[in-house]
Amino acid sequence: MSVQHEPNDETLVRRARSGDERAYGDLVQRYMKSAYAVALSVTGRHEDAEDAAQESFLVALQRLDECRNPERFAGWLLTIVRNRSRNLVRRESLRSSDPLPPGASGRGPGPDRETERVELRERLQEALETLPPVQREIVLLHDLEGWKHREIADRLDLPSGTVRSHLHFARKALRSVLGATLETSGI
Amino acid sequence: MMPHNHDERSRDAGDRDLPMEALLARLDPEASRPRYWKGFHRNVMEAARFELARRRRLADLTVAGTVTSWARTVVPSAMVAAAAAAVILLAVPAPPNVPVVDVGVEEYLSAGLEDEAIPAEFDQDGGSGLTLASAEIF
Repeated sequence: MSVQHEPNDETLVRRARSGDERAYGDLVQRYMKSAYAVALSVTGRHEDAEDAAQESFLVALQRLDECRNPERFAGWLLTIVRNRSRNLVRRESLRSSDPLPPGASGRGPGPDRETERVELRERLQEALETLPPVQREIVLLHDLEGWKHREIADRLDLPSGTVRSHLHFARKALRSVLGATLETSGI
Repeated sequence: MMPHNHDERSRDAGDRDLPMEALLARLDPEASRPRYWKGFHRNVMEAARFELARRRRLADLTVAGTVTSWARTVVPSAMVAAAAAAVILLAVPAPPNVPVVDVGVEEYLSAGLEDEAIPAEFDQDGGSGLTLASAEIF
């Protein structure tokens, strides 16, 4: 049986620079969820996170020649995502200084299950907002995306011990905010 | 729910918080919208279509385009030069036949020299002549 190794980021970036659609598609596939998680950690809203993550992939493609270390593409991309997300939040806050009331983030009242799901998401996002941005990003990359400490450290340019520490404090803070939710959600 | 990018075995085995992971998994858009990530990927690829096409055109220009533009200049020049050479060769009459004579290398080198190839002063037998010449110079 032959083992096929997936091309590394450096190879994919070099091919994508020449307009290789498949290589770019592989990069999107590899990092779309991480990009979304980072965008969500900054914006706190699904719709904004989606916009910021999608825009970031396009910006990254347009600026691909500026990626000086293609082997570190992930860290470079996540920096773009972070910046785009911050810009989006700034634009949103300029457009409307009134925050949406809880429960008014999009869909109207639906079936009970859907309402519960929306409410749980909102509680989660509110809890995440109590964390410092770096902790929010680390807990999402680790506990939602499944990145390892070493990968987060490498891509966020932080010492591994710092990542562990941030993760520990982020979980502790989330537990204190979501204590009741963790118990009642049957998890 | 399966983590996004890694299978269960590849996660940090010693530092997992399963209840927290399960709770945060609710933030995955696909938890409430099936095939969300497929749609996300499709949207990104659709938005990138023009930029990818532009990059392909640029890449074609840098490889094939360079060869083509090089050929566009060099090939006509070479053809003109070849035609001119052919015209000249045809126009100039062929030189008259010169009889070929076999000669040795020494004969060939000394042909046309009136005096001896090695003056008597520098001959090995007349070593004193060389000393004499030096004395005269100083």
